[in-house]
Amino acid sequence: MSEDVGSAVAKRLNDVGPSVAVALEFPMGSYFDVLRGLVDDFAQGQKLSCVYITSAVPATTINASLEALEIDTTNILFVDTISQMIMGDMERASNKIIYVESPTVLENVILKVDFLSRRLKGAPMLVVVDSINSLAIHNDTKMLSEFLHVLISGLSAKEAYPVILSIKEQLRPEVHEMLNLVCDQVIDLGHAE
Amino acid sequence: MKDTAVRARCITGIEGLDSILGGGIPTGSLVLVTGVPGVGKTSLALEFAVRGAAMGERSLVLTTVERPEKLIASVPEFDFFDHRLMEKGMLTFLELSDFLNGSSISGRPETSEDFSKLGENISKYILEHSIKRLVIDTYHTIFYGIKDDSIPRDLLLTLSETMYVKNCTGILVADANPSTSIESIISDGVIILGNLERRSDLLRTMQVLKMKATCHSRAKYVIDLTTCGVLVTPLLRGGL
Repeated sequence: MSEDVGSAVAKRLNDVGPSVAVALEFPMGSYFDVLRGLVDDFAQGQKLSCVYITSAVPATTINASLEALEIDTTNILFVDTISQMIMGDMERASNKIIYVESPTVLENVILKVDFLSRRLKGAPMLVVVDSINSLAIHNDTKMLSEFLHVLISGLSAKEAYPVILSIKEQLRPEVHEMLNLVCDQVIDLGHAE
Repeated sequence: MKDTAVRARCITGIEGLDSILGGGIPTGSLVLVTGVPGVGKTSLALEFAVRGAAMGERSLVLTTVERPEKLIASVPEFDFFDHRLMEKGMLTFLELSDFLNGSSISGRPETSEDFSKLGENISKYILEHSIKRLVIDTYHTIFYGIKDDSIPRDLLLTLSETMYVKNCTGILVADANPSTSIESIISDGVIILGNLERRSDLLRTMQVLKMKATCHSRAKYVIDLTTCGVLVTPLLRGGL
């Protein structure tokens, strides 16, 4: 099952190519399989750097989880929108993590992605938004759709791979509709068992 | 003829700003960059000068309050700041006193003669060193203690004329009121940097209020001051 989801993610993304905004909808139980598929199978297979926007849990936690899964995190850079808001620990000395004050400052998220893209000097990159559900806790749908539109447009021009993660159990109908509107493809990765 | 000709653009090198301005500032313009403290005026002005020097345009930064080294230290350490530009004379930092030829004991202009000399010497320097970009940071502080309103106006007119004739593009960093100040009236362009409070977040914003001979957006943009320079993105309106 694990290998299936991970391989399916990598295969679907390989099929769509760059500059195509993809929303991945999947059950909570597949979360780590999806991450493995994205970061390990797809990004490393394509030799992409990864910019990982996290709004659900701190970047340090995601990074530790990936390392626990024995996934190489060398080429992953994080935009952490949650640690500062919850006054969590922040690794200021780390070159891997950039902090944004809160998940409500969506413009700053776009600017940090732009900054990291410049730091990568135009190298091909996968940009993961984890997740639309957690961003929807802090922002209304209009704001989110505008954010994704601006983010995706900028990334498409850079031939990046924008991927928006969406947990099915937490997905409100209006957010699902919005994803259909702003993303080029919404990929359904199965239902909760 | 010169007045009717389409002026070339001075590419600021600040990607987002050039995009807003349709390619850059009209060459020979004097642009006021104004806003409250801490919004990024000096960062933007320095990037303009450094990027220009890197593109082969001799740039002069005139500091009026801080020593040049302190001014440089106060902005993000730009990745693109090549110190060899200073050694080659492409990028020069000077202080106010360097233009007064010792005529003022305090090192600051005090009399109308001092101000005339300052204007003349800056113009002369621009001509003799083929300066194509000038930054004055900050303009208002030159006039501390000066009651006569005609002095800042006259210096501004002198600078404006020099910039136009010499095809030198200038940025005046100031905290002038963009609606009423003489600087915003005389300047060819006005860029306002500010803070926008939304819920409990504070965003740094940029808005081009005026740029002569330019069809430009007058919308507010959000900026970030980074080691890659000033980055710009549209202000999201959904929640406003």
